[in-house]
Amino acid sequence: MKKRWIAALCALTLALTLGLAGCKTDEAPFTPKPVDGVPLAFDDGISYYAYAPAAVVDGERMYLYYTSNRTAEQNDPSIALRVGKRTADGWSFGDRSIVLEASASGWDAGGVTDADVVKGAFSYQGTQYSWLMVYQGRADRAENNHQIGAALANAPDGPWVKLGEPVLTYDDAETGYAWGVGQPTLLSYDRAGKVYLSYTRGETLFTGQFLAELDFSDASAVTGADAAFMLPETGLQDGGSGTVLFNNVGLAARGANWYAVRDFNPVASAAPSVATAVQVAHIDPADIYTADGSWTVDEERLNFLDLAAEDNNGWERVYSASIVKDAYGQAYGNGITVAASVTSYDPTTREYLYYQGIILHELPV
Amino acid sequence: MKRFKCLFAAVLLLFCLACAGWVGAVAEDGASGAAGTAPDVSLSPSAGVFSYAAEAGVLVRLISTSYDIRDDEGDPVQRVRFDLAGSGSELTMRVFNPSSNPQRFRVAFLTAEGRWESGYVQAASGANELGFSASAVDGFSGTLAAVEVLYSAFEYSGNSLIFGQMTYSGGDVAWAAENAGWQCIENPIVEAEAFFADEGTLLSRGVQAGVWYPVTFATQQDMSAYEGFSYYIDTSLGDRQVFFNKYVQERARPGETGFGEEWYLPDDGVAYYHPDGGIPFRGAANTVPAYFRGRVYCSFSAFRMPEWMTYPGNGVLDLDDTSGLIGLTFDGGLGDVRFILKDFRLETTVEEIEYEGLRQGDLRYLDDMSTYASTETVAFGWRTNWSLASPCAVTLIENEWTTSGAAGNALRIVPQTAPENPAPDPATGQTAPTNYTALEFFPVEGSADIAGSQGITFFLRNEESEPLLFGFEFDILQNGVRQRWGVKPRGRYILYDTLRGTQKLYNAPERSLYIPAGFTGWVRVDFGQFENPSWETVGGAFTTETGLAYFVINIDTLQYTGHSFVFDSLAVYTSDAGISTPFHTANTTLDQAIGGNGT
Repeated sequence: MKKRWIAALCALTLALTLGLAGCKTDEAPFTPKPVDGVPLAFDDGISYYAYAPAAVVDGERMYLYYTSNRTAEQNDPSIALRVGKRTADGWSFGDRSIVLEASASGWDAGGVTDADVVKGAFSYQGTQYSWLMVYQGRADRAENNHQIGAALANAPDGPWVKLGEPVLTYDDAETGYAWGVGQPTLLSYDRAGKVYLSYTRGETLFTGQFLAELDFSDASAVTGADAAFMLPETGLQDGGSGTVLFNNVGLAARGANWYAVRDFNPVASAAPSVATAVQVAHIDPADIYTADGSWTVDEERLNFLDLAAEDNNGWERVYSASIVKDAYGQAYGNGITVAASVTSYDPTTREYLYYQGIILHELPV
Repeated sequence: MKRFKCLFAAVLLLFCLACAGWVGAVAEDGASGAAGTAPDVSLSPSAGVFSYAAEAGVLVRLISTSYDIRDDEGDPVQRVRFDLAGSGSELTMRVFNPSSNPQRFRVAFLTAEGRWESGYVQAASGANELGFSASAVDGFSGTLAAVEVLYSAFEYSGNSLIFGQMTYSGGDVAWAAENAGWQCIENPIVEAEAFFADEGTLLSRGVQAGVWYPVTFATQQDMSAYEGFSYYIDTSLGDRQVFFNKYVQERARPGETGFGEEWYLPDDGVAYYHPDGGIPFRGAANTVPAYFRGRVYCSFSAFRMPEWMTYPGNGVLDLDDTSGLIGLTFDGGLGDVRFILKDFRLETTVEEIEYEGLRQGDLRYLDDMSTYASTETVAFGWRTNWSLASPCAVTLIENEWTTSGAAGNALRIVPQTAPENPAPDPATGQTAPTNYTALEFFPVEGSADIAGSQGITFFLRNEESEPLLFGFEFDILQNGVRQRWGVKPRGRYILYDTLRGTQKLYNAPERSLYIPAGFTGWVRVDFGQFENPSWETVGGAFTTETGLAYFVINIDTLQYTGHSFVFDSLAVYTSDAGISTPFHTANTTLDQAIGGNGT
């Protein structure tokens, strides 16, 4: 009997603990995000932002990684995950979970964002892993000196083990206090340890999209970072009369081509100053090694005109997108499905941070 | 063709003059060589008489070629004026009297206040070194501004006196003017060698655009035993190249009408340059680089008869024609040029010089820096000509980062701040300095052969710990006119860091190349990555068939003053070699292309 009482007390205590904990997490009542276009893929409510998606389909599941604040209404960027199931109406996503957080100190203590994931075979400190995540981190809250780090797992939903140091670094002593390197996107080279990693590099002198050919077979000694080079820009189109700004890219492979979805620049002049459209283009990967390599644009602008619903005018900000792909980076489905960040904003304050959400949109490429 | 027409007129004039008197002058002085033994012969009256050696204690040493003052049957006094800068009263002058009899002349000293003439000065037959003192002339006062030499053509009709190598104790001397009745067969520019010692102010003679200035040497001997001729030239007094046409004039032979055939050294021909203290090199036949000091050799075998030449003749360069006349005619259209020309002579041997290392692998060098023996001689090829441009310090160093295809000399370039009081731009009159360097390179042969090449390449080392934006442009010829090309914004280029072993493609941020900190290796830019600047008015699609005539490095000196980088091995490349990366190997690798097989 005594044991039963003790067991019941423990259960009650646990329940109270969990309950209180649950109350604390959900202390802000759920309020859906305002929708100015096609429906969001999921809704975290207006206490949590969701942007910079990376969607990987493995088997019957879509693993949709995105940047979100870990704590309600606190700008503490982390990597969140929702796992989706295919339904007759599209994808139905489960609950949000945080799969990667900022470190307590060090190069990524200021936040982790913009993750992408690929499947392969990776070894780290004596353990074999089958999934690689790359992400953007920074040491503090300043929007500069970003670097790119990596984490490993044996399942797409984690748990993820961070590599201690960034795999692609930015040295502001050499190239100036500037945005740094970030917004990584992955393709598998050999379905094992080698990957293509494309990323944006923003220095004081220029911003451009680079490609690194990295070998994570032994993730404790990643090689190839010093040979990163710039992707071609010829053929891409931007608004205005300036030169093309190639950044914030999501890559996927399809047949003999690589497809890219990128921010269409320039960004909006009025806050929120993010892109108003994304562009989809493709290139023969052999051309990225040549001086005259050129992209072919498939969708000049995916914007509010494409992303309007019956009761609205469409999303006015469309940015930071990726292409839904399989575990090794091949574009998923028959077309090109874009996972894009969209947002509404307060027309008075122009505040938009927590209104950011994610949509899925298939292009018949 | 326009040049040839002007030249033709000059030649006619000169031929008449030569026949009238100059020929006799040379014949009298006995400087002509004996054809039988064919020694190297000095044809300039000054050569063999006046030396070029510097003299101790001379503040300013004037080097001139000579003046032949002749009778014009109407003006008994011939006069030539030399402007003087500085303060002093002592002059020395070398006078050559080709006559076997003494001749006399007078000297006039000019100040702002007046003019004082000396008494007659006797010039003995042959060489004379004479001194003049204005202060010794009765009544002389003021600051000496000019000196005139007066010579009685009436008294010495048919003779001549040759004046040269004037030294002024107080400062600089410049040939200024002669009276209208004079004819100068030799019409040189006079400048001060002391420029190199930073003494005084260099005076210059402005030449008139569109006018050809002839310098003619009458040989009057059988030249068939000679392979060619040479002359000493010093263009280091100015900052411009000097363009000379060179021709040989034959006398009309029996049955021929007119003046006889003229033979020209073509503009695309070759001359052989032997710089003082430098390594001989082959260069353009008719364009002497700026800052050159040394002897230039030309071979008779390179002379051709122009297509427009209509004189009837035998179509053979008759070197045994004892009426031979060799002319050098420089183009006043190039602007204010300054140079010393002297010691013209026939040569029994003209040694050909091949440009070693012209090709290696897929590289065809425009300048591998091997011809420069010292920092001073770098200016034969690389210099800042534009007065408004920011200067840069250029030193010749050893390329200690030797890799395949790059070895030996290199240039270390350190941009400097913009000039404070630059000379006006000769074209626009603008005086506002720019915050960009303009380190220019002119191929020694006028335009470099780049036919069939794919792009332009060079070796570069960024010696700083921060990136460098490196700008450059080049000119190709379109129907003989230079047309500018620069890297287009986002133009794509290869960075092959031979020290780090990385090969990368970059997209030019704007119109400059981004060179990472510490980069050491090759930069390659396909010609497809260039475009005309907006100001370019010369039309025509890009072609490699007409030659590359100019290359210029532009660096922002607001950003990079005092920064150091190394430049070497300017070349074009002929293969489509690409980068090799961890996952990709090019069909033709850069190592294969640059290392090459030495062909």
